[in-house]
Amino acid sequence: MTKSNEQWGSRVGLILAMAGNAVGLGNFLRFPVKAVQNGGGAFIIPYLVCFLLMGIPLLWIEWSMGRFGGRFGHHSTPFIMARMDPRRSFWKYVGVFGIFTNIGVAAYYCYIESWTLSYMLHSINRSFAGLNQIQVAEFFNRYVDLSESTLGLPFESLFFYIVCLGLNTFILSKGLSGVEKVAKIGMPLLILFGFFLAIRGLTLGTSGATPEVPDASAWAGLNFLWTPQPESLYNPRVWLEAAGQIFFTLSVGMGTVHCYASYLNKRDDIALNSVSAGFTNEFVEVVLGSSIVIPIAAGYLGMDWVLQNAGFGMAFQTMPFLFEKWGPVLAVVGGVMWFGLLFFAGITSSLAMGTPWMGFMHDEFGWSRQKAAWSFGAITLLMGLPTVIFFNYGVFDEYDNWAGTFSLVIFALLEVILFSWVFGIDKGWKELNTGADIRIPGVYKYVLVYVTPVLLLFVFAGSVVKPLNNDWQGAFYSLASGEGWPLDNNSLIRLIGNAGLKESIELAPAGEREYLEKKLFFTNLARGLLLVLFIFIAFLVRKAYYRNHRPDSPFEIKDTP
Amino acid sequence: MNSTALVMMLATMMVVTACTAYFFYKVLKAPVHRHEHKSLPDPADFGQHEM
Repeated sequence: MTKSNEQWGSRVGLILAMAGNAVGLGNFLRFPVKAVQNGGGAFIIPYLVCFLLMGIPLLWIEWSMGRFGGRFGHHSTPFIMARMDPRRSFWKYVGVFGIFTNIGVAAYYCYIESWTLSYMLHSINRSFAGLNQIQVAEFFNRYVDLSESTLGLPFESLFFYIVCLGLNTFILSKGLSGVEKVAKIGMPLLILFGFFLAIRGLTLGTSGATPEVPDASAWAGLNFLWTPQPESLYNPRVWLEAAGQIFFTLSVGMGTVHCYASYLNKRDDIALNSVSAGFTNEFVEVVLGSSIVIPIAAGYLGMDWVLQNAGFGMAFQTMPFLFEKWGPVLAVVGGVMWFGLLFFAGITSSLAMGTPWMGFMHDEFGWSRQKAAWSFGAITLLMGLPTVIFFNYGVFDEYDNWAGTFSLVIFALLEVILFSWVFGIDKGWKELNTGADIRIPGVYKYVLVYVTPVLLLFVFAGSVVKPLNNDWQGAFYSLASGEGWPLDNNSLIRLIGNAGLKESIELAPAGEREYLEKKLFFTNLARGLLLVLFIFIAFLVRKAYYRNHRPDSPFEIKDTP
Repeated sequence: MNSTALVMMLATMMVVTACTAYFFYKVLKAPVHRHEHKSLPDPADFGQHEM
């Protein structure tokens, strides 16, 4: 094994890098939409409960595991997990998830990141000036279609993807100092841009109403977002959605937190650092995330439109059109700030995704930082090209489903079991409290053992048997009345066999059938690629084990006294 | 904007902001451990095999 001499430059830099890892596009696009869909102001109650009972404990677990593994020279999850339970050899393969998900997610995440980079340039270039709402939406469709170009550049979206991935790789090749520098510049800028847009959203009022949309009002958006609907608290869907949002917003279950924390010293604080990073993410999500997209969209297009169209696409297909209503100067400023904010949110997360692979290759195979970083870029490019080229055939969604959703939940569930039950809560609690700058309430010892795993189990079960249209109450009634459990096409059970897609193919007219059959082919291709990636990493882990970690290996780093 | 939504929004935002500020204040006030033992030799360096 090769020992790493890398360290974080400062404590604030570490917290900002961790917060940057957590703050992503979902803070601005997923959270407000989930809040609107799940009871407005009432959603915040289960959301904050889940943050305290699942989010914070998961952060503590991952930070503890990371710092523990770092003591033995491990900076990625396969051998961090193996070290926590040396008697069972399978943990190192569970840890494969902590590298696999990062490459799988980075492959498509960098593509979204490249859209923000490109749209920032388009905002400066005033590409959206004079376009109506439909034309702005079509602009995006043209942008992701490789046969068309919005700037005159051939393969424009591919070009920006490669530029973006190259930028990530270059920064990663500078090591932790590069990541820390980006976090120290990017996070304050992100918050500054967020403040500007949030103030605009909060003060827009009814000034955006037009004869076509006379009832447009930002207040209506804020009312909908924040008026508590107490009855929604009795709906299991709302709790599951809140738990899911907390889980995905904190970037837990990925292996990035372990990697960052593994560069800490044995007696460095993790208890306070992790809570600070977690709350920074919550600040960005709750304070800024809720004050931008929904109120601005409701302020110009009305709440009815928002309710029908709220979703990820609004960021690229709607917001540029709305910024144009601010006049030529503010349209540029608004566009640069909005897409700049998303770019910084994205790059601070995608940089984190590169570090577990780099840590693993350096620790186990002695690769230099540069070699590890550029190999990450090359694998991510190979994995990402199908998401760019076959974007319209569902490759992107498939990566998101398997690498970006299910893998995370499975890995988080297993790591909680390892930490609280196998490694043991007493040892885990001691690890967590070593060097702590805050006193963690004793009740959390029980939360870590019982509550967090149960909540994760619910999130996992919820994704396996997700009912039709996410209507849990309706599904329970249906089950009680003997009509069975109606499964949604996005439930794991139906997704695994492509049941929804196959049904659509059977029902589709001839012209559309050809497209759907192609989509089925590329869906399976995406799964195959992900499987090959997982097996490849598992093979490297096995090779590293025989090379460095057998009991008689001369390369093993012993525990520090 | 109706008063219930306004109260809910302000209360939530204030609680989240206050907690974030409080924890950052604690971070900035906390003693710096790292530099105390960074200069000391790391026991793991002894008997360490480099590849």
